[in-house]
Amino acid sequence: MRFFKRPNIDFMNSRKLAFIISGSLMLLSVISLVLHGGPRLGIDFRGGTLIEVRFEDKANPTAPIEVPINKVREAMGRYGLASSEIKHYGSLQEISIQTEVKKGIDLQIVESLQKEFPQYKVIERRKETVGPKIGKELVGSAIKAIFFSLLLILLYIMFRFEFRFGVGAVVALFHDVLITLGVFSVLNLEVDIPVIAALLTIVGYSLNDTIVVYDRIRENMKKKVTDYAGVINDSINQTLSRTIITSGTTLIVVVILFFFGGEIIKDFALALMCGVIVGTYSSIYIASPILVEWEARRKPAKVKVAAKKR
Amino acid sequence: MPQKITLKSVIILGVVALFAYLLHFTLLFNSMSKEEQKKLAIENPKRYEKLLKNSIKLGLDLQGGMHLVMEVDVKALLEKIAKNKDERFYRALEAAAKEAEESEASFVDIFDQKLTEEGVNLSLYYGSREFRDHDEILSYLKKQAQESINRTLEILRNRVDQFGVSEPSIQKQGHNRIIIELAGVTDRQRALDLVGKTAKLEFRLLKDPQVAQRIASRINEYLTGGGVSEDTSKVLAEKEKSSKQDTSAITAEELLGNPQKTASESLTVDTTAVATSENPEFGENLFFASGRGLSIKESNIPRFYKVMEDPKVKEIIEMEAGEADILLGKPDARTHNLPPDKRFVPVYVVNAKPALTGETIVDATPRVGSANDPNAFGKFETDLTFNDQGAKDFARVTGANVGKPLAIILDGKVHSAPVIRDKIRNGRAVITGLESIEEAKDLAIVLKAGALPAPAKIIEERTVGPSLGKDSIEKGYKSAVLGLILVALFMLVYYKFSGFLADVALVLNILILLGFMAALHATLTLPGIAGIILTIGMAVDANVLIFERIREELEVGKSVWASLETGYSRAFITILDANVTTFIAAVVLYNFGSGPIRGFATTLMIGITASMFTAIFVTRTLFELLLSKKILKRMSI
Repeated sequence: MRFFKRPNIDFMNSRKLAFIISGSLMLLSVISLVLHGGPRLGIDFRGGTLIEVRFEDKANPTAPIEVPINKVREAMGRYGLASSEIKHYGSLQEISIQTEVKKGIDLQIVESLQKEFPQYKVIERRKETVGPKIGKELVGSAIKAIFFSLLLILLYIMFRFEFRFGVGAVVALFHDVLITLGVFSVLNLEVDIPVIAALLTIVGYSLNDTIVVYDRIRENMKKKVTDYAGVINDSINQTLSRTIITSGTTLIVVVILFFFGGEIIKDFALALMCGVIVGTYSSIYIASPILVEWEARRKPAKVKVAAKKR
Repeated sequence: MPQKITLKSVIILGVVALFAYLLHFTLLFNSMSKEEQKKLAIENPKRYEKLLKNSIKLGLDLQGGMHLVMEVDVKALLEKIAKNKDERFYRALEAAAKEAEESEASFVDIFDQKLTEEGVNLSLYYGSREFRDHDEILSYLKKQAQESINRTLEILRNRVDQFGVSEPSIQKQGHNRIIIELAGVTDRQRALDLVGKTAKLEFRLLKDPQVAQRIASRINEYLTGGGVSEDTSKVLAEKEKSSKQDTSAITAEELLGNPQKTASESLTVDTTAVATSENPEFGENLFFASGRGLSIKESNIPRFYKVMEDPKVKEIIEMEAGEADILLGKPDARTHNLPPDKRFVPVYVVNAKPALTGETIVDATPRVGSANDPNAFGKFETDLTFNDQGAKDFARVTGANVGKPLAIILDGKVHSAPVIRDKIRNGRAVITGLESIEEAKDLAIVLKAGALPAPAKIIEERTVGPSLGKDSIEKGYKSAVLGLILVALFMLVYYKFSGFLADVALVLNILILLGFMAALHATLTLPGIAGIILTIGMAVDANVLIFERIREELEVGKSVWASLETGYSRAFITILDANVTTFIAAVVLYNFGSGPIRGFATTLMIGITASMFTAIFVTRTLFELLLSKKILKRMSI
């Protein structure tokens, strides 16, 4: 079975269009981030307390119930916590509460909720408290981690390929991370530690694709090259099958995680999903065209802007 | 022609056997019900241990439990070892505490700076014959902070071990933090109390009752407006300062009480109410005197602490009694059912300097209260035994003070102040009147492991309830199975028989991954499960690369063997490059993250390595084996 029999799509021809699309997406991401004052940080980074509680009907534990948020807010109000972030989490009977106040309050939260809803059993599912100092430190380490991995990867690629390949790869990765953050910003989702982990994974994984294409380019470059863009096009076409399949299988798996993995993993899976899709796109339309543009500025004669049809 | 197929096949079989063995502990252990597990633990503890030790460890987010990060409270340490503490000292200390929240610098340095701003030198509070020079003192203080952290770590280790948590984890992080993980602990409050308690045990002599009375009256006068008028703005500042106390440190008392005006029922001086809503400290009398000594209303406890912060009050105490402290005791159990403003808490005026400290305790045992002692009967108690030095000191103190009361003080609260009947030579003491066997046990644990030399604050806490843990495991498991089926199906359809071989390799991949985790005693977390699932998706990549290559070669017309050869060798380089980069990212993640994220990085790293092995070595050997045995005639790919 084959998806593509000898594909011969002229990718390089549409690279200007691709640059425009990517550029706009990146711009949109930046605008959204600026408008929101940066990515929406979870308590991991800004400190605070998160409590997740589940309500169950005492008489009938398995019956689904809907917990009214305003009543929860009233109960919180008695402790001066009415301005906490309260929302349903996964189902209508699970509530997540985020507050600024750090400690001592948490036991009272569960107790006060229990008093407010005596007909339900209030179960604390999980609780996280992060002090502000730790939060700031984590932001610092997250940023360092992302930059450090980008650096290491750039060095590795420069070692295995050439400098320009490294540039292409890093630009593509930067593009992937930025757009993923942009998506999170537009959807107003929180960025917490698992999301950063997903970003780092994307950095590593998205490179997979890019390297496979680069590898083929390198191999094809060994022969005499008259048409740079054409060679790159061919390389992409030759590896297209593999690129689609691998991204496809990873995507299947991540989509399953998104829908079946539970609330906690959901945002993490979403970040990976974005990363895989955007990453595949960027291997074809960012990393490779950059090589073409680079060459075009070095040896204009070798590059034909309109690639030959074969 | 393929070389050494037999050898390679044997290697593969060996690998399968090895990892199956590594995993079987987990499978065996988890297939037993809880009752069966308990039975085994009793009947054959060695086997139980072995099974447990070699099974895959579940992270806190999967089995439920607490993760705490504690930071040693250097501020409290500095306060403790300082002498001649005055207003400037406390001001500088508070200012330093505030700045320390934002800054990365060492607390000692910040404090030093603040003191300089107040115009005082460290030597005023910490100077001694050995250390007079400012820099010497600075380095001495820093060393103190450093050493106390290490001691705290050791002591916490002792305590948590005795807590009975299976495989508690206590690690030092950086230079002043400790990470504690208590798996399966569901009683959060008990764990928090145990870990956070300073358990500073001291024995102090009481001041003369007349002295105590005088102090109480003078403070009462001051509070009811009969004394020297105070600058109210300063008092307000004091109040604000004390109400912002960080309550995550040691003591059990809540400093966030609601100051209320209560009906005055004083037994001594009549009140002239000066109370306003801004100065809850002032108003009616605080202390009441009775035949049994001083006391305050339980509802006034928050107020009491505010009052104790007032420098004027400190002055009064110093004038009347020299170096002394006023401490609270425990409420009379018989008044348990009365409302807080009718319950009284005894107050003790004690020497500031302890006659004996808890560091010399060697043993502490919880017991049921003796039936002979009316105070102890129906309750629980903890027996203490001192070491030689402690026994000597104890004998000296009790010998010199027969007939006088000796307060037994735990964490700044007086448990009891029994009168010394005679010289206690054998170094044994008892703390009675504890409410439950839990309390007695915890007290014993805490005393035995010794006192924490500096209180530790909890700066991060993550708790996952067991119900969520179970849910997560279920969801993770379902997702993994579903993912595996879909991917395997796809490979089968797209690459036919070769796809089937790739699926075999995939299953082997997971076997190796899990077996490795069991062998390394690595911890499986929810992100870790996600990592396994991700590996499933990524593992096929290597196979796809190889198969696509083989297809290409076959199309060009090469023979089956040649295509196989070229396919594998050419693809190998690509696979290596691609996986190395993901591996690098995983390594960075491992360093950056902790706990669950580490679990993710671990499964990713192992998964990548295993997938390379299975894709390159295993499938190739399978191909070669089947082709050479003519089971497979053509490449079905």
